Amino acid sequence: MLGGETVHALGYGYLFSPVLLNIVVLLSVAVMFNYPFAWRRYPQSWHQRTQSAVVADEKGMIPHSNLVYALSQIDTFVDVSEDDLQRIYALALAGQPQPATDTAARPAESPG
Amino acid sequence: MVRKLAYSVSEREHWISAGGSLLGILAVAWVSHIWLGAHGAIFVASSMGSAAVLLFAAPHGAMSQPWPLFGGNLVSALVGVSCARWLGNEPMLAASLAVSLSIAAMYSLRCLHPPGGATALYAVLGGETVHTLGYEYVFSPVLLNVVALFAVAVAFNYPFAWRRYPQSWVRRPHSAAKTAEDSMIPHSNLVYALSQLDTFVDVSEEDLQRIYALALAGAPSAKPAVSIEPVSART
Repeated sequence: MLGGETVHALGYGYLFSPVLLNIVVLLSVAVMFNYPFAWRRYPQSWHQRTQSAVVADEKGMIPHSNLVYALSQIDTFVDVSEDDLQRIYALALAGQPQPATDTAARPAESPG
Repeated sequence: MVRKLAYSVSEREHWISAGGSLLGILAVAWVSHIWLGAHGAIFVASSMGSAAVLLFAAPHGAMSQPWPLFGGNLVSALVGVSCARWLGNEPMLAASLAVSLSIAAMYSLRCLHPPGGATALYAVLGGETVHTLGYEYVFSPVLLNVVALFAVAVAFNYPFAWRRYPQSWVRRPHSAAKTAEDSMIPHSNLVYALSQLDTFVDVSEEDLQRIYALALAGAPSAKPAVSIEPVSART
């Protein structure tokens, strides 16, 4: 209805000719472009969880079934991957800067 | 990683999301038709389709909130029209710059909203009708469409207690979150965690807190405290 004559004339060809073609190009650029940036693992599923931060805190991880339960309770689409939820939780628990020098020279800061 | 966590929602949610977007786009088209009827065209920015996905299928997302919706679309429209005007004879460059600059602008204004990219792209590739509008594009289809879609999203989500659409209007009446209030993670710790990920995560803080509170409280807590747990390695 809104794409105009050009789109209408394509019919179902629209699926392949602009749409699929565009997606393939965009996807490949996204994969290549994100690759050099270590913290951006673009197709998340290709990621073998090499992030040391997670591994270090693996024990503190929330069981998968508990997260499934939590999201089923919220019952609204939440756009985060499980990996990210686990990492956020682990990092948030590990707390602030993990100082290189153990001497806490930081100003008054209420610990969690 | 077989099952995608986000799809733990009920079937009810699928239909509510689909139904809401039906009403949303209907309203957008109808308002445009009434308002711009003189032009004889139903004028809807194509990006409203993707905005509807966010508002009706992921109403709690950080990208679906009012400021991203309004700010993201308007600033991207502005960027898009500027690119179309100044680089009109280089459509390839204009199109790619429009999207790239609108991402930069949305990030710096803290209103990242994926449909903004479409709004900017449409300003360049939308053809004669859009080009002749010039900067009017920002108001006439874009703002008009956004207002209509937003109004429907607020009204439509209101009756469904678990869908608090503009998340900032929530008074947190959820008992589930309350019970575990004391196990909440300090705000600063979440800020730290997200700064470590250093990639945009589309969840509101309220939802993150609720997810962790619920996940920690564990599955059906309906059962009394009698521990019938099988050999569970508790760490």
